[in-house]
Formats: sequence, structure tokens, C-alpha cells
Amino acid sequence: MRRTPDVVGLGRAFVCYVAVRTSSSHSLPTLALALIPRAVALNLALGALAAALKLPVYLDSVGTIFVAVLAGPVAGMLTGAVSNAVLGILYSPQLFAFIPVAVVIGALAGWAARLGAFRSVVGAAIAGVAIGLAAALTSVPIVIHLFGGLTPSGTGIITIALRMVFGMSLTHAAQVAALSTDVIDKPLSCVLVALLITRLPARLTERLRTSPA
Amino acid sequence: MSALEHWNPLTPLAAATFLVVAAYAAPQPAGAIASFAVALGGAWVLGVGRRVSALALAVALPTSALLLTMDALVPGAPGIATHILALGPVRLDVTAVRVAMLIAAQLGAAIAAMGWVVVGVAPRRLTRALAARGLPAWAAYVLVASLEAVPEARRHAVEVMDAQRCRGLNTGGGIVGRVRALLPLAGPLSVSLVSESEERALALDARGFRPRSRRGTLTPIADPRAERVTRALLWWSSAAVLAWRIAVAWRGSAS
Amino acid sequence: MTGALSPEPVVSLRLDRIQYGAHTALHDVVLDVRPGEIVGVAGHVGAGKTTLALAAAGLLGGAVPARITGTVRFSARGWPPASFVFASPWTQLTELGGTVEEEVAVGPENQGLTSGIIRARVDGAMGAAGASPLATRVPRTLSGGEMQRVALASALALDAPLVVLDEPTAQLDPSSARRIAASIRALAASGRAIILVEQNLDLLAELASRVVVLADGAPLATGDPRALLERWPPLDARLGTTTAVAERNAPTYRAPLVVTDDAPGLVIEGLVAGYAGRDVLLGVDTVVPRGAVCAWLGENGAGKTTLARAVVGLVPTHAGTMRVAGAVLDGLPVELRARLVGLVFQDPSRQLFARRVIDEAAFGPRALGESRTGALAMAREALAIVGLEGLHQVNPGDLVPQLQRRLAIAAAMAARPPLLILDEPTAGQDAAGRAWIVRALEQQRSRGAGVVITHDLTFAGRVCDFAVTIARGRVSLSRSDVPFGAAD
Repeated sequence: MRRTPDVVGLGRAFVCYVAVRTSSSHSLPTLALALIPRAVALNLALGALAAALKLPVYLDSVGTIFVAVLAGPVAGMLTGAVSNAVLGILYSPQLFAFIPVAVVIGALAGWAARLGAFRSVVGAAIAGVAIGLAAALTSVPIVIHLFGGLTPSGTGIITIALRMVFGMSLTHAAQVAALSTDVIDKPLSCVLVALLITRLPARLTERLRTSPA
Repeated sequence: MSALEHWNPLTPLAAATFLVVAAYAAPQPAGAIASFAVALGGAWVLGVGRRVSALALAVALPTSALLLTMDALVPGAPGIATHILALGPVRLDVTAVRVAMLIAAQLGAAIAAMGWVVVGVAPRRLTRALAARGLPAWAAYVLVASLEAVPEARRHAVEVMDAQRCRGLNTGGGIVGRVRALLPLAGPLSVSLVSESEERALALDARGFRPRSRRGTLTPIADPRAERVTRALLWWSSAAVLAWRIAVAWRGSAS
Repeated sequence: MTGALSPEPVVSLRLDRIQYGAHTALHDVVLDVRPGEIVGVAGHVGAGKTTLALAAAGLLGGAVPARITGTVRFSARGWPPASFVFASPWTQLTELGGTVEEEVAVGPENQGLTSGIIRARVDGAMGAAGASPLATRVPRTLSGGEMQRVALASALALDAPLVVLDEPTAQLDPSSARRIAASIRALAASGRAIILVEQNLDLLAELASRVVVLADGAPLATGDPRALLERWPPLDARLGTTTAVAERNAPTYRAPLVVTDDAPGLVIEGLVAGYAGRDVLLGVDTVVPRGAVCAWLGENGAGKTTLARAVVGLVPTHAGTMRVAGAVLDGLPVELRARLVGLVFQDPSRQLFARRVIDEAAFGPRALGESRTGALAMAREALAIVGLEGLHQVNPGDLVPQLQRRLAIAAAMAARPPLLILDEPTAGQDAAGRAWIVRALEQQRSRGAGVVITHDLTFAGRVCDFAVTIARGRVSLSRSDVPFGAAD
């Protein structure tokens, strides 16, 4: 091949544009809007992949975190909200109740990215722990007030076990149970996003590395 | 075919909102029970009873069963409880049963009410009705396009899995190997997420899409006066119930 | 049309320079397009055709952050100033419409028109694009050809005086491409100004009233399409020439294959296969001798791709047997068949994930157990075969789709499978790209056998020893020569 620039797709230039535009202003350009449905789909696709690979994690926030890192906390929050809304429409309205959790994940991932957390795997893992903590703490009041402290899931059974074995209060048990899943899932999701971001076309990663915001 | 398809989608939305508010904020347990009865009964009248009942019961029943199990297994405060069941260490007291029943009724009511909208109203129609009331174009796009993208998601995941297995990627084996397989599988999905978004954004631009503009519509949704009045009543009633609940909470914390 | 009598141009381009970051994509373009005129744009991959198309439609500077020096002037004042049709049938949907007619309505809805006007626009546009029978279908269930008609209708519903089409037939089979071509001709006759970017030079020579040939980001020549495109030697070797001229000057008939070996590359006997209760393949018998390249021809939906997927193990088989280089495939899991068969899918974006081109090509050998050094050596060799040796360090996502396809071919060849199957490898490729793919298949002969699934008969004639036609789940016709250059 003669010269590299000839063969480089012009399309990649857009991505830099989203990264810059959305982090500098609050308006969402068309490209950031177009990212959101794809990210919602990525949440589902990775959830399906995690299940197909029989991994003990959900990975169903990867799309939300991915967009938050690319296009900032506003886009991240929107992705989280829409993702849970869509799941609520398609599967069960109870998932509407957890929209705040998804919003918190999107917001924190976006802010962590602005602090540069997603530039390294270690940073992403630390951000993941923080996001996992926040997600668990957001979900507990919802579980307690709307569901009486238990959801019919693995987390609910862990909550009962914790109360029986350690005599914890309902709130404590619910918190520990929520943490037990989120604290593995979210760091793994964040590390995956950090690795995926490095695989995106070069011009974008350069832009992410040189701009702190 | 549901009766809901002939209404303006905002009407069931307002009704569902009122029922959810009643289930949680009206005087209990009457509010929750009445709301549950209306939501479930209404669903059958509207022709979406089977699916709405399935949705509501699939959450309400296991949740209350699990709550009862917990209360039976976890020792409560001694002395105050009135047991209705005592078998060795397994005890169930009246308050716990009441709480579990209330939670079941509230969850059942909320899910059945939202089920009217989720099962009976096409999301695109709802979005169009909201757009007619001023929902900005970008919000309508994000919701509708996301619903559209979901069926594609699974297909894309399968296509990527097929392509990489054809290159020799092993998706079985030990946990380490399976975690490693994540990157070649998630990689093409995330790269095409970005490149496809670029193409979609350009396509939106090419059709003159503007995120903040007010759009026209090919098929306007009728909004008869009777429905508008009903909705106004429902919105004001919801607001009134909420106001009452806040006032009670206020007085409670003040005294 | 002569200058004095011509109406005012619909679009007037005076482009000194268009840059993406530091990269200049296009420079020194002067172009006026008048009503009723079809201006063709040709050029090698990376020549700046898409940039020119986007600029002419007023789409640069918005979602595409390009720096434009110069002016683009439109005679009409409405927005958007042009109807634009993209190459990829599916990703140009806005997803705002649940049915075809709702999707077509998105443009006029964005323009804030009233329902009555929108309805009239939708009906008119669907008629002009031949999409009326599809009105109530769900867009994502359409075939590529149907989808492209819907895309044309959606663009026309904007009622712009200018229609810009960027390789509208690149991903279509020949009969769908002809329908689009007929619509384009009718649009010009009705007085629209048209800019048609095409890699298919036959189509350009037939349709265009004037053609601009771009090379390395600038116009190389402008003028009569036949004079510029039917030239031998070609104006630009990377661009090539029309099929007829190429056939006349450089006949592509291959010498008949001499089969000297009794261990064939691929043997399929009595194959019945399909998904969930519905068999697509109903008893396929076919052989590809070692050292041969075979074309699998047939209409869309005839089962060509399903047959390829059955060979690699992605489709459940219910009867029959398959052997590659003497090894029995039946019962082998997909990832083990990878040693024997390399399959390159139609859409390479479903498999590219590595940080660098070289790692992408080394993935197959690595997954099959090669050492890192061994895999990298195999990757380098494979990349050289398809002409990507200068791009080892580039991110695969930064490549244009045509090069991504060549990378996918290299990635499949790196593990040196005795059978290589390419599904529609030439879509969107220019003459230079096709030549590299021919080279890859020539190389494959010495390693075993090759199969090409294609609609491109010229290409098949150039590289294949024989062709089989697949129709309704069976091999309906086996020919020892491919009808080169003939309209299918």
C-alpha cells in the first residue's frame, strides 16, 4: 500500500467529535444519540454472551459504561435509564424500579472516565469497585421500600441466609447481598470496557488519552 | 386485539400512574388492595388480562413467599409478636404476614397497572402520542431506536460468536479460557457499535433530523375530549393522593 | 446540454480542500450539476468519492467533522438540500418507523409537515422507488434489494431537487441492482439532478450523462462516460474499466484444469441441512478438486451461504457427509473444523477486534495452538498475499471496509486451511482490490482448494475453474466453464 492516510476510513473522525463535543457541552449531538440504542443493544448482547459462556457475572452494564466513557456522564445516564426502560417494556415492568441504579452506574462511569480511570486496567478496576458499591447502595432502598427487602432472585436468598447465619438486620443483609454480586460484576465490566476502548480506532484513543475531560 | 389500541395511549398511561400512586400512597392496606383489584380486573376487561396477570403474579407471589420464608426462619424480637404459626424454630407472626400480603398487593397493583401500557400499547404509538404533547425528537428517537435495536442485539452476538468459532476460538473449557474468550467476542460488538452509530447518525442527518425540533406525523393519534377530561381527572387525583401522603408524613415527623 | 441554454445548476461545488484532521481527502473540485443530469463519480477505493458525495449533499461539517475550504451552493432553499442514499442497506434506516411507510415518512416528518402532505410525499416516493408493495412490511425483515428501494423512497420523500447516491448497488445482487438503476433513470427523466457514485463501471457507463473520475483525492478527468471508462489501458489501473472492454483486451478464460490428484479438496455427498425444522439444503452433491477454485452461483436465498455455513459446522446437518482434504467433517465441532476450512463472512466487521492488523491475522493460528512467533510469521505471510504488508501496526477499525475484507481473507488464510471459502468477496472492491483477491485465491490453489460465493461473474470467470449453481437447496447446474462477462 502506498500511504496510510489513503486507506484510513473517514468515518472514524466522527468518534473524536462525540468525545470532544459531549464532554465540553451538555447538548447531545446526533452521533451521541445514535450511540445510545447501540449501547442498549450491547448491554443485552453481552448479557447473552455472559450466559452463553456460563460466566458467573451479568455484564449487562457494559454498554452503559462504554457510552459513559466515550460520550460523558449525561449520555451514560441516558443509556442506563433507556436500557432499563426497554427491558421493563420487553420483559417485566418491575425493572422500571431499578432505573435509578442504571442511571447511577452511567453517571459514575462517566465521571470516573473524566478523572482518567479508564486509561488503565487498574484504574478501571478501582472505578468498577466504586461503581459496584454505589449500584448496590442505590438498589437497596428500592428493594426495601418496594419489595419489602427481598427480590425473588439469588440476592434474595443470600439476604435470608445472611440474616439467619449472622443475625444481620434486614437493611444490612440486603446491602451485603447486593454488594456480593455488584462488586464482582462491575469491576469486570469496567476492565472489559477499558480493554475494548483501547481496541477502538486509533484516532479516538489518542483523543481520549490527550484530553483529561 | 386490545381495547387499548383505540384509545389515546396517554389515557392508559395516566390511569396506570394513578393506580401506582394509589397502591403506594393511599391509606393502606385499602389503597393497595383496591388498586390491585382494579388493575387486574381492568386488564381482563381491556383484553390483556392473561399476560398482565402473568407479569404481576410472577413478581408478587415469589416475593411474598420469600418474605414469609424469611420471617419464619429469622427470629424476630421476642415477646411482642403474636404468632400464628410455631413449629420449633419456625415462627410466623401476624404482622409479618400482613406486611408480606401488603407488599404482594402493592407490587401486583403496580405491575398490573403498568402492564396495561406495556402489554396493551405499542411503544411507537405511545412515543408518538408523547411527541404530540411536546416530547423532544431526541427523546423519542432514543426510546424507539433502542427498542428496535434490541432484537438485533442477540443476532449480532450470535454472528460474532459464529465468526470467531470459525477462526478456532474455543468458547467452552475452563473459567479462565471462557473469560479470555470475552475479548474476541465483545471486541467486534463494541467496534461495530461505534461504526454503526456513525452510519446511523449520518443517516439521521441526511433525513433532516434535528434533536430539538418538533416533528410532524404521518398518522396523527386522535385525542377525543372525553379522554382529555378523564386524563386531567386522573392526573389531579394522583397529585392529590401524593399531596395527602406528604402532608401526613410531614405531620408525623413534626409531632 | 450547452452552457447558454442550461438551467441554473441545482448544486454548485467549488471545493479547494476538504480535510479530516490533518488528512486531505479531496481537493480542487469544480462541479455543477443541473436538473435532469446524472453525474457519475468513479475512482479507486480511497479516491475521495464518498467525501465528494457527502459534500454535494451538504452533509459535511454536521455529523462529519470535516474542514471545508471552498463553497457548496444549492439552488433550493429547503433542508435537507439533497436526498441521499448510502451503500449499506440496513444502517441507513432511522429506526423511527415501525413499518416501511413509517420509515419513508421520517424525512417529511422531520421537516415538520402536516399529515396530508406527508402522506402524499410518502406515496409518491414509494411509487418512484418501486417500494409501494412493501408499505406495511417491517423494515428489518426486508432483503438487501428491498431495503435499498425503501432507502431510495425514504430519501425521495424529502422532495429535494438533488439526489445523491453513494454506491447504492454495491451490496445488491444483479437483479436488485437493475431495479435501482431503472429508478435512477426515471428520476433523472423527471427532472431531478443526480450524483451517482459507483464502483460498478458498467452501470456508470450506461446511466451517466457525464462522469468525474477521481484519483488520490482530486479529479483526474471529467467527461463522457464511455470515453473515460471504456478505455484500454484504463485511465487508472486501480479503477479498471468496464467488463466488456476488459474482456476484449485481457480475456479471462482460464486454461482447463487438469485434475492430477485423487484426494479432492472438498467432497459433499447427499447433504441435508437447515435450521429448526426447516431444511434449506435438500441433498447437495458437489466436489471441488484439489488445486481448483469453484464458484457457487445462485439467486439470493438459494442456499449458497447456508451451504458454506454447513461446511464449517454452523448449520445442523441431518444427512449426508462432507470431507475436506480427505478428513471427515461430520461431527467435528466448529472450532476444530477451523483447521480445515477458512470461511470469510460477508460482513468482516463481525470478526475484527484486535488492536493491530498483524494481531488480527495472527488470531486464527494462535487459537489453533501455534506459538506466538509462529503465528506472527504466518500472519505476515498471509497479509503479504492480500497486499496489506505495509499496514501491520494499523488498527483494523481504521481501515475502509474494502481493506477490512482483505484483512479478513488474510486472517482466514493465515492458518493455512486446505479449504478457503469467500462469501461475496468483491462487493465494493475496485480493480486493484479485486486483483489482490484473485491473487489470494491463486495462492490458495497451491494449498488446497477454494470456493467463491459471488454474483460477480466477471470475477468468477477470472479466478474460478468451474461453477455450480445452487437453486432451491440443491446443486442444479454444474459447469466446467463459467459464462464470463455474460449478463447472468
